[in-house]
Amino acid sequence: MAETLLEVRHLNAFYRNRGRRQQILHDVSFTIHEGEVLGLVGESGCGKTTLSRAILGINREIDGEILHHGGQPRMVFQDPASSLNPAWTVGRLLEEPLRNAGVPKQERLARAIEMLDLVGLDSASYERRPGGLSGGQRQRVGIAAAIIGQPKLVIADEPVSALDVTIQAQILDLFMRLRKELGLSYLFISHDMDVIWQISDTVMVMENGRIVETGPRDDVFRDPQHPYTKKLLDAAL
Amino acid sequence: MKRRNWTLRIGGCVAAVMVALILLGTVWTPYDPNALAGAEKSMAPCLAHLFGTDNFGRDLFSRVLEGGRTSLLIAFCTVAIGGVCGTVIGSLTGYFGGLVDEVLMRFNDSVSAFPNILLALVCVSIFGTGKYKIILVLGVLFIPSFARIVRGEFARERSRDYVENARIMGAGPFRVMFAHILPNVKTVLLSSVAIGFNNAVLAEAGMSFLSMGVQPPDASLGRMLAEAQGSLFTMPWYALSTGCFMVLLILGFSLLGQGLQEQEREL
Repeated sequence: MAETLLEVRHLNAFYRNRGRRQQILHDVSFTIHEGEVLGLVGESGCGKTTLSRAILGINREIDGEILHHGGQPRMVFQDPASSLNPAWTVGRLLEEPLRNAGVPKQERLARAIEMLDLVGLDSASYERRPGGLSGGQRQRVGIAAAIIGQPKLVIADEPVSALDVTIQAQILDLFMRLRKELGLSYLFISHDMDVIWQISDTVMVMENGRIVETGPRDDVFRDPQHPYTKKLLDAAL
Repeated sequence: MKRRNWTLRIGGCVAAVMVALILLGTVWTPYDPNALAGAEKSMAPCLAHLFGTDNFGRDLFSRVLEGGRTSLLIAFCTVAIGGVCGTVIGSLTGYFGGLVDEVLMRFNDSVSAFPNILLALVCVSIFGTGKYKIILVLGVLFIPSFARIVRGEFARERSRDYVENARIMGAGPFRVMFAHILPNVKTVLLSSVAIGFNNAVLAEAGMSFLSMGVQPPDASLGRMLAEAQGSLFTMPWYALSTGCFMVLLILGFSLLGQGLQEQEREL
């Protein structure tokens, strides 16, 4: 069995809205192993994003256990137009995680150029700003910025749902290629059963903040146990 | 198609010309601004004296440049003090929020409730007049307006994805505030700097006009207007040249500020 990267045990997460505490996640438990792609599927508003924020340590209104065995995970956002600082150049964005980790400038520059190449961008993009790139190119920058610090686990929160269908396929291919080349693990969040089918090893279905079904991809897709999973699959066909 | 921002361009040109004239005045003026010349008293504008002379025979063009320099210096320093302190306070309170934010902003509101010029006059009557005291008093009084604008921007920006992303990428709170967020509020900040600059020129001129500001021998546009008032009918060029110079200086910077705001809206 491969090494465990992330363990989440009995996680409850809350959201504070004008003093009222609202529970978003209910008793969520799962693990991600090295090299595994865990697909998390569910309708929007079911708590997928709350879960990724809790894992990244941004939402501290939680109880339960989140154990990182492979260092801090990184994040790829849904909409790179808003998650990449519009005032910064691509090069500066890519180098930021390294800068914060104290890597010297020469090495940062070399790594940033290497990353641009790895995600299929021209090295001339280094000088450009996110606003001057297409949606697909921007998401490539988002991915490069997430993996430049060599994380073992990347959390991708609906990373293709803001893109055109053809671009979606290209970005999914990129995720699969990077996984193979770098041995990455993903927690891949999507509402789209097709996307989940293409990328996942294991599938986890979430409804209203609860995990209702987990299992190997083929089992979940061929023989869904929970009525909600069946409903999602029917809707996708 | 990108619409050309004429407000910004014209404002920029006027402001640049006025500042260039004043800067030129620091190294070269046609005559010594304080030289008395009994034979050339109260002359109307002519080629030798572009703006004419006053009742002591001093060249008004040279004096306007000299007075403009004082106004510019005071306005610049005032905005620098108010802008830097206001930005720091506004970004801290806007980004962190909470109790400190509440307390500082209520304090801010109570200071802003009084007209700036009134507070400035009160301070001056306590601490005394003079160029540097005026700078300090106006600078401190300008902090609240900058703090409020910057706070609003930061409160809006802090919930955006790129800020969250910056935190995930390991940036500490000060780096997030000043390296990540500040460049995105730059345009708003610049337009308030231009507007603040105008207010500072006007505040200084108003105080000097009431002889609560810059003291002789320092020339100032406000003092010159006060002197010109007495001879409004015998030497109209005195008030006109001084007044027009001030109007152009302010017009340039207010168009610049307005143009920057338009630019911000288009983005």
